[in-house]
Amino acid sequence: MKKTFTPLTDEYLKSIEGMQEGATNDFFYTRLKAKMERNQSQQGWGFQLKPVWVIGSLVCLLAVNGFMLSQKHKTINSTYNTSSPLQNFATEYDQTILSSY
Amino acid sequence: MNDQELIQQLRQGNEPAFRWLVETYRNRVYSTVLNILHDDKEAEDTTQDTFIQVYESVNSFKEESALSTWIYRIAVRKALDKIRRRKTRQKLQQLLPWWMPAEKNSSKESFHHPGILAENKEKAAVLFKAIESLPEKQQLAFTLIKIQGMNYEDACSILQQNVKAVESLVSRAKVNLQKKLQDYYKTLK
Repeated sequence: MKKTFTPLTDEYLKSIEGMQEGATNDFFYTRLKAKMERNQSQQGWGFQLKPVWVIGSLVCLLAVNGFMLSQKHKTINSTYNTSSPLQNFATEYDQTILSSY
Repeated sequence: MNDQELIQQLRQGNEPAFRWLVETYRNRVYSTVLNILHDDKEAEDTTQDTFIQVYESVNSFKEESALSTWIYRIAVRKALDKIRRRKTRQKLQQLLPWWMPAEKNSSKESFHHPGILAENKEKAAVLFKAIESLPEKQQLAFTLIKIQGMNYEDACSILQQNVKAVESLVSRAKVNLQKKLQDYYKTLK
């Protein structure tokens, strides 16, 4: 291995000499088991709750909403275009005469 | 209990065997992950995730390496995922501060390792901060070998790299750290 001259790095590395190993909490296993059980109970919902699915569903919902809104506008415009203002008025206020004959 | 017996029992879903595995490796895994993440809560969380993954995927373990190496490999990969997520979160915090509020344990705070002597804590914190700014691979290789005190053979099988590659990573990490520590010295003057 090529030797590199790094006195500062070596000096700072001395500060961790004799470093003791980090230790987990005494209740580590209990916590681990609790987490495993929690994960198992949530597994059924994991698929639906992934951000990609949430955002995807939201985009779909907005697209359907936008489509329905544009369709509604189209219908209104075509109704206004094909019938006379008087007929529109009668339709809007439900004043059309229903013939029983 | 040898590795073979332990793996066999784990595959049968034997809980005492799983408990034995956790009790045997938990501190070593935690210590490795803590040295990579520099955050005790994230380290504990990652250690738990490591054992969950071991439990869930022991059936797909091909036994091409020692059980301990496989466990460490999972732990290191999970720690890396945490670092990547942390970096993404930090970027989002800078871009959208109103959407991603800053966390209590931000990267600006120094990490004080619980196992370091009191008189060395400040110096070690500077070293850990400098290590955090290294490229990912250099950071991992340097941490496993120089901080964790692992031998090259084990580190190579965990990182899935040959000895020369790992030696080169450690060497480059040392040079980069030298530059970063020099810069730190200049700011103090």
